[in-house]
Amino acid sequence: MIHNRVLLAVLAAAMLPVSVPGQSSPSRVPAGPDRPVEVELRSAVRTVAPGDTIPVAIRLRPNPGWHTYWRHAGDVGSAPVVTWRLPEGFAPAPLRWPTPERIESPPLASYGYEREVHLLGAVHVPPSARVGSAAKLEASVTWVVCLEECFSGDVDVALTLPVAARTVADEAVARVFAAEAARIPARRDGWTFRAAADSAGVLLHVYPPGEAAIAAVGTAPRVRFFIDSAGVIDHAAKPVVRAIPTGLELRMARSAYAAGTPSRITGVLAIDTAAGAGGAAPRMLLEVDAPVVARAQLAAVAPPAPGAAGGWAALAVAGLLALLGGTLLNLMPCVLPVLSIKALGIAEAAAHDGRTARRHVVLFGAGVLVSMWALVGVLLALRAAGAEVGWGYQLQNPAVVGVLSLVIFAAGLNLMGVFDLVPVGGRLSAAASRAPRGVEAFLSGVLVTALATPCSAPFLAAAVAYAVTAGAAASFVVFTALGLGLVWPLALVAAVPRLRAWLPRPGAWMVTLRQLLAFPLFATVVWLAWVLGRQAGVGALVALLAACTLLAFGLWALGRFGTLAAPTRRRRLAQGLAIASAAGAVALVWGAGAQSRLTQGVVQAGSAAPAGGAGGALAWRPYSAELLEAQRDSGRIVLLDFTADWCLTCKVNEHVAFGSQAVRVAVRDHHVTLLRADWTTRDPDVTRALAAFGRSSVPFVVIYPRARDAAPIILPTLLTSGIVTGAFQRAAASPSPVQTPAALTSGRIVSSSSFEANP
Amino acid sequence: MTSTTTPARRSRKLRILAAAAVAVLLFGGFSVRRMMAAKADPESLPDLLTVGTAAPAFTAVDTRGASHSLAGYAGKWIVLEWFNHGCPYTRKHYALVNGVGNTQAMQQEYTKRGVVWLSVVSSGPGRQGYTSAKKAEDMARDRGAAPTAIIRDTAGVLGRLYGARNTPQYAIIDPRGVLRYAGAIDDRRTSSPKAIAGATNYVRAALDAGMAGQPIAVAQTQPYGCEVKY
Repeated sequence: MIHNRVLLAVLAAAMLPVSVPGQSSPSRVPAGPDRPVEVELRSAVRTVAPGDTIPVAIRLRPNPGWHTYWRHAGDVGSAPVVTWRLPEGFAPAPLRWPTPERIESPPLASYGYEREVHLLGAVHVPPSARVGSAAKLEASVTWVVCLEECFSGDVDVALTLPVAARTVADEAVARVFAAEAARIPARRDGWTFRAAADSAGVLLHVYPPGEAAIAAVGTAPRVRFFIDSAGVIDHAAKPVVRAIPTGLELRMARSAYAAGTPSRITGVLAIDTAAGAGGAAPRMLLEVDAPVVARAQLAAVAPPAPGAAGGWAALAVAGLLALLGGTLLNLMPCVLPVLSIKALGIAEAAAHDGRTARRHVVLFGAGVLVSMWALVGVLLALRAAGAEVGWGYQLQNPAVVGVLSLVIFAAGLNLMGVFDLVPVGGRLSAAASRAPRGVEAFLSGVLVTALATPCSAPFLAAAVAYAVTAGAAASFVVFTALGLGLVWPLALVAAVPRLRAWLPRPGAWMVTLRQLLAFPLFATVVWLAWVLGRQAGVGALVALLAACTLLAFGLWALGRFGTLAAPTRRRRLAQGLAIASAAGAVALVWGAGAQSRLTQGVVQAGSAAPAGGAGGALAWRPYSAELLEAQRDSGRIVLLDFTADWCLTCKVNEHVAFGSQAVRVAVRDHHVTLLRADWTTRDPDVTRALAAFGRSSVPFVVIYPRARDAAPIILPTLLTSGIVTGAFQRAAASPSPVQTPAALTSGRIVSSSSFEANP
Repeated sequence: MTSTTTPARRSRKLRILAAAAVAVLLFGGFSVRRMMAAKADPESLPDLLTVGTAAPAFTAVDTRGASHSLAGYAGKWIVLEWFNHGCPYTRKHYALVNGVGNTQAMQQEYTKRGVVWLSVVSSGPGRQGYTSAKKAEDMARDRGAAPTAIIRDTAGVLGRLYGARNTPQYAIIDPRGVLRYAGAIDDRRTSSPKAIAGATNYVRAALDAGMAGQPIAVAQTQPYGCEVKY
């Protein structure tokens, strides 16, 4: 009996699963005119037993140069669509899509395959299927193939398999399927993903399990992310990838079509790890499903990595360049005079007593290094403050670009000799000369650093740019290298008296060099102005030009009337004028930058339709714990805004988000109670409320959903009206903690603006 | 000082100057590269239309040589439809399903209600989708298209002005000249005419809501389809 069955199976296996005569559809449709693709339905088994599964695939082989598309096509084309027609009781499994490639045609990019691809599927055979019957699998395939132009069409393909006692594999086809299966991403245990979104784009954090995996992804030479929905990120912009202590961070530019904030980021991550790193697989393909959380929650999990941007090699390069830059600073006109005197002094001392000279050099070096470290501290503090205003995307923030332009412009004017920081330096020198000799050496180190700083904008810009993207440790290394670079030539001069003869003598050439060096700075301003113009438009560009003019006036006044030679009153006046004009200039560009953000916020709020009857300012009530509880008891959604007058970001949020029509409408429609916890002056109640969320800084905005037991929704630091209205929707829809807009889960559309503006 | 400078001295200064210049260039390049890394090349991004702001002014010539301008249509709703006769996604929306073409029906219905419907062909000469004026008209007639006019944007000026990336792609401008919708025709990002039934047609929704004085729920979407062949 059993013997017979085996015989039957073997016999059946001998039959090839090709088109049966009389059957309408073939299993394979070759490429033809207006169809630059071959389509085939394949099976990896020759016979199938009842209750088993048939591994099947739709094979698409485009003509050379042409390509087909992934499940999300990106900017051009669309995914092939497979519709099954199967016998009663047979059930198809969803198709599994191999990882695609980026197909670029600037300014567009799409995801697809410029190769033969098998879209892997499976068909479950019901246990009730009769042995000896024929199972006819039919699929209607809508294919899309593009090169420059696109073609699309429908073909029907079919396959008939004998239902037999045993499932017999077709080894050759099974091998092809297995090769393709290796390209299919999977969900991996222990890997977690988090995302944050703001007006600049999407941050995706990847947290692999274990040190080995973290190390492997951290050194991966190639990381790609294929998002699987439209209108979230710009498909054409490559993600900026960096290692963080807990894994990887990908920064992706926001889609020009984005509206609102998605609640999840889904797609496929392809990580090509360095060969043998941590014993990990050479290529990791992962299905990503990342909930979108507040930016601060990302940071809490993954602080910026020390020395991470680009790894150790980049750190070494930056350190080396900083050392070189520091060395070069010695030649800078504002440093050289001081240094020359210092060097001569040290050499003189060395002639008397070598130990004293060495001690002087060491103290001088310490002065330089300590002030460099102080600079790092200031930088990191700024960075920390910057993080509050979205410093992570520093150059995507028009306000930051504007202020940076002003600083560089001022440095250029300084080099040009329009004004001098001599009064400041003079006072320091005076202090130094009164102090004991050791302290004097230390103070002159500080002085040199202080003098070098305005001279060194081009060098510092690079170091600062690096330090901003890298972490604290990297900044420390870079600035230490800068300081050492500044110190070593002097140390050498002190050690080798004969080198004194080599010191260039101060002279007119120094002024020429100094003025010449202003032009690269002005060129940098031009570049930054261009960036600003692209970001924020002609209005902001004009604001920057006006700010430059204002700043130039103030600095000119400082240079003309603020010198030490001038009478004290006139000097004070000039200094006041300079400070006022600088403040005015900064306010001007910052305002213009913030204004452009305001415009963006309004745009996100959707149509220009006049939304009726929601005018006027929002009605805020001062926070108290009792009021909060009472409002929550009455079943209202409560928005609690922790703010302070000195908090710039808070003010931006109030303008951009809370000031927008969309939010006003949403507040009215959802009957939101608005509570404001003002932290301008110390208030223990507010501090306690913040601490309850583990916070110690503003801005911090939280929305309490309608349902009493639902967790509060913590909003990101930088708000848009879309984020706020989206959160209101979720708050209204709770208890389900996260409501996914249908638009995004379907993977079809783009816009989730349905959760934006409209009443 | 210069007059008394010895040659050796001068060459040393030159060396110092050269070293300084090289270093400045090096660092300038380094810093620019670092900064640029944080931001994608803006040149590669298409110009973006801002829904809710004034639509960019244009003057374009149709297949008959007549001029159409934004200013000339003040007081009317305008639909700009990017069109490519060979594109399967355009064909999807012109295909006759049960005797009715999706786009043709919209053109007939809305032009009857006073809407100006401009089908824009932005294909450049020699590029796919480019045709003579006569052929464009013949093809439109054959497929029963009923736009107000077919714009021959052979230089791609109108297309770039409106950031057109795909065919089909739509821009809807209200009687005050404000751009009210930009993006896809519907939410079914496929090439199959079968997907038209049951799709959410954003263009219809925007026109119906906008013309009735209602807010437009979905005002911006990512278009899908073929590339515009500038």
